[in-house]
Amino acid sequence: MSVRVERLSKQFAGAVAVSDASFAAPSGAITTLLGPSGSGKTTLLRLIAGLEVPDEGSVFLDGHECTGVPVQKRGVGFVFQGHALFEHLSVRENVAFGLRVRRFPAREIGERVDELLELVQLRDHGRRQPAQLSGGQRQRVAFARALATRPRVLLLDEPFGSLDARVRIELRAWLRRLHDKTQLTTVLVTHDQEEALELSQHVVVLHAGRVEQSGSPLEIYDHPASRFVASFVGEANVLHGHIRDGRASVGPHTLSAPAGVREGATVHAFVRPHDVQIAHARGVGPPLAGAVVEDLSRVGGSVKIALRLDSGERLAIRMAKGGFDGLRLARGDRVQVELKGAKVFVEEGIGT
Amino acid sequence: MNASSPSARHSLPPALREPVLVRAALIAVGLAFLALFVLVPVAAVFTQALEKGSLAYLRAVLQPEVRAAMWLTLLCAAVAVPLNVAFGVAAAWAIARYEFPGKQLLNALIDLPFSVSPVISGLSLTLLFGAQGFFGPWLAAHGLKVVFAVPGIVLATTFVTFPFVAKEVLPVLQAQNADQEEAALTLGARGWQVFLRVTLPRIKWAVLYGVILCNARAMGEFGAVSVVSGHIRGRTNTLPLQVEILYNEYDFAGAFAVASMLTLLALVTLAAKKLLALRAREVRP
Amino acid sequence: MKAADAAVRRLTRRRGILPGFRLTFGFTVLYLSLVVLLPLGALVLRSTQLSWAQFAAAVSGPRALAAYRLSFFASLLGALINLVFGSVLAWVLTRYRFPGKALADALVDLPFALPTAVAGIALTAVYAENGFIGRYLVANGVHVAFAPAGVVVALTFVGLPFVVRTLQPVLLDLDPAMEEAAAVLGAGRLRVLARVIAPAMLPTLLTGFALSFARALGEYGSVVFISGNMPLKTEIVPLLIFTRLEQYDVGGATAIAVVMLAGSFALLLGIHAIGMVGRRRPARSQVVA
Repeated sequence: MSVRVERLSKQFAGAVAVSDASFAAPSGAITTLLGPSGSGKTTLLRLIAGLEVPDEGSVFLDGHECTGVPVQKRGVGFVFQGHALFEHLSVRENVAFGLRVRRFPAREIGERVDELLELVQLRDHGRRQPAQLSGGQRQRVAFARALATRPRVLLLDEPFGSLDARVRIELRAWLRRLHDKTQLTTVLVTHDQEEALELSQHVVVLHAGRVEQSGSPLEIYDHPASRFVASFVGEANVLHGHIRDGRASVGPHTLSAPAGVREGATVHAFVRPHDVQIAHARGVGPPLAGAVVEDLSRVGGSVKIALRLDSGERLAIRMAKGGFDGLRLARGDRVQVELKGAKVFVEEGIGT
Repeated sequence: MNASSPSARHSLPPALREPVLVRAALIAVGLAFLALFVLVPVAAVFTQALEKGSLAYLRAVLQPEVRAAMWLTLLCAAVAVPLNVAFGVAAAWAIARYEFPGKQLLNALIDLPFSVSPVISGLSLTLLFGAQGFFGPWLAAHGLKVVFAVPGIVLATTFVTFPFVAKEVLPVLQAQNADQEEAALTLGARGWQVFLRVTLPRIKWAVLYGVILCNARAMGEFGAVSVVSGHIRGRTNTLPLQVEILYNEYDFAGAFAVASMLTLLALVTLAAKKLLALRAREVRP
Repeated sequence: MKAADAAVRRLTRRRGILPGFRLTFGFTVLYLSLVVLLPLGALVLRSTQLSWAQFAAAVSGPRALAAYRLSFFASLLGALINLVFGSVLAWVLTRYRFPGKALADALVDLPFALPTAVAGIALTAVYAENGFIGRYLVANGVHVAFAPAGVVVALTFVGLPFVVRTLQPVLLDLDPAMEEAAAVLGAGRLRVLARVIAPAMLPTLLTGFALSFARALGEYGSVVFISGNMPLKTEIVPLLIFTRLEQYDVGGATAIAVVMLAGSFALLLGIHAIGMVGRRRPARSQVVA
């Protein structure tokens, strides 16, 4: 069962939330809507669920248009950021809610609820009230409740957004296993790129209500389609330069630039922290650029090195501890750096 | 427990506490004020009522006129309270859950009956339904009587108790976001199911609180009812009006006996209110 | 009808898809119109049927003027008494612990719950010449019952809960760190009260005062028993309206009522304005912090 939206637009009191957004979420996969807060990702999810009515555009579930179908009949499961459990009902009754309002026979409800509590590993918590559960447990109940009515699509609105970092990582792995079991088409909203890259098979990057790029996590990371995607997804250094002789000249480096750009145009080169090669300065001239080590800090198994290039621009790089030990670097050392890879964007016009 | 909760307050550091004498003086002044204006008058109701002994008291409250007044008072509450509950919940839902032009105005208009003198409320109904009122001739032609009859009294009661439930429910609904209702929708619940299964359980204490206040006022209203009643004994007198009649006839023991019943109602109301406030605090996160 | 449908659809779009807007909004407006707006509209409409001369005569006769004066000043005085003693009571109830505190707190609400006719005869019994308190006052030459002072007593009673109940939650929410900061800076208790607590409470005090005043202006039941209802001396405006009506002077009653209604609305607007200023306040102090 696939989810597809076409040219969706939605404004709230004149403020644009979603603008001309189109994308498709493949069947049986987890698709992430990734973007900073205010990028319209939650609105987009609510439009898919039918919790909002679009100003323009259409929503397709399984190839059928359902833009006008009320939320009750869309067959979607929705997990809210703040879990939105019914505080006055027990865990069991929360999970049973969707079946009760659809007037399922009592025995069937009981069996289904048992099954789901088993699935979310809360079999012994059925009689508790939501207030008696931990944040992670509540969110699992919210999943069970959403799954109880056998939805065709699972929509998750920052489901781990209000939890501690540690619980979040646990639940992420749990969700991964849950999805392996259910194979349910899932659309997940998050602003956490790590979550997006780790959990999903497909990522849609949103910015200011628009879809910036849609693709696999690797595509998004390795081939960002825009300056925004390059800077938002993954860590990146930005170096500035100009187009000279049809190539991007950034300090002493010359990088390939898209064809047909104006001579002298400003370029932004996005350099991943691990795409920088570093060596002690031993009188080797260009094309390597000179730099000074400003700061060193070890974080777990890797080392962060802050460099200041001779051009004045700063560069943060990251390397494994093993490689770092071989270099014997100290603060204040002069080094030479080489860019192993960079993504170049030209002001007016985008390219590789 | 956060720092601003009442119990944390008592352990304020010494720098923030007033000297013992100042504290004692303030407590004395506050309590004296309360005693002079509230406690003594309320106590007086009971002493005056029982002045001529419990037998006289019983005789006074069991008079047929008093019993008729009691029935009318109950009838007023039985009509006004459910109507105002339905209105209060609907108005709170509309105002808390939707955006529409004129929302502020609607909100202000709901408070209107609180700022109108009860006598003016009664007068307004007279101008509408009285013999010289706008609908007067039509009503007379159809043999219907509103003013100086039971319908007028019920209407006046409904008017003065109009805002109570809305005022209690609205802030509670406004403090909750619509998450749980939306969750119910995604699970397939229809409008009424959402209301009965999700919204109502979350506002029931506020509704009950409003009902208690609304009921107390409905049974105790005097000014507005007085204007439209016509004081027909045994027919259009509520308990508060009966108090007035007995009092004006210098039957003080009788007047205070009936008044003591209303005072008991007020005390029960306060107790129920207190209980509910405790209960609601438990329920709210 | 088409246009209305489109409007509703626009609204649904703006506010999401929760059902019930038409039903609840429609019922709210209908019920409000029937129960409240229709009668008050009748009052205003009836007053426009009076000639200007009739209107002026009704609202500016000596008896009416005396009633306005009494209602205004007695309500003002009652509200002031409540402002002073209600503040003390609210302070004591939120800050101190003493035996009987729960009872005292519950008693504050009694004027809300007690039928006004009962309050009227009870206050009269207590403050009359032979009453529990009245006998000592009369011995000292102070007449309360059947005198303007009685009106003030009754209006103080009905307005009593407003100042206390408006102040209490705000006092509880007052950040102790603010007072601690002032104490650390060397301010004594009195100075903290004057410079820190009082300014923070000012909008709330005003609201409580205004609510108490507004309630007193319209009060009828508790006053008519204790005041003696002497024209020009102890006759309040609501009573005068009632009297005119009983004398079949519907026009006169309506005219006075409309003047009073206008006054109440002005007061209501004032209270809303204070409320809005008060609500903005905490946000501002947060920014400073």
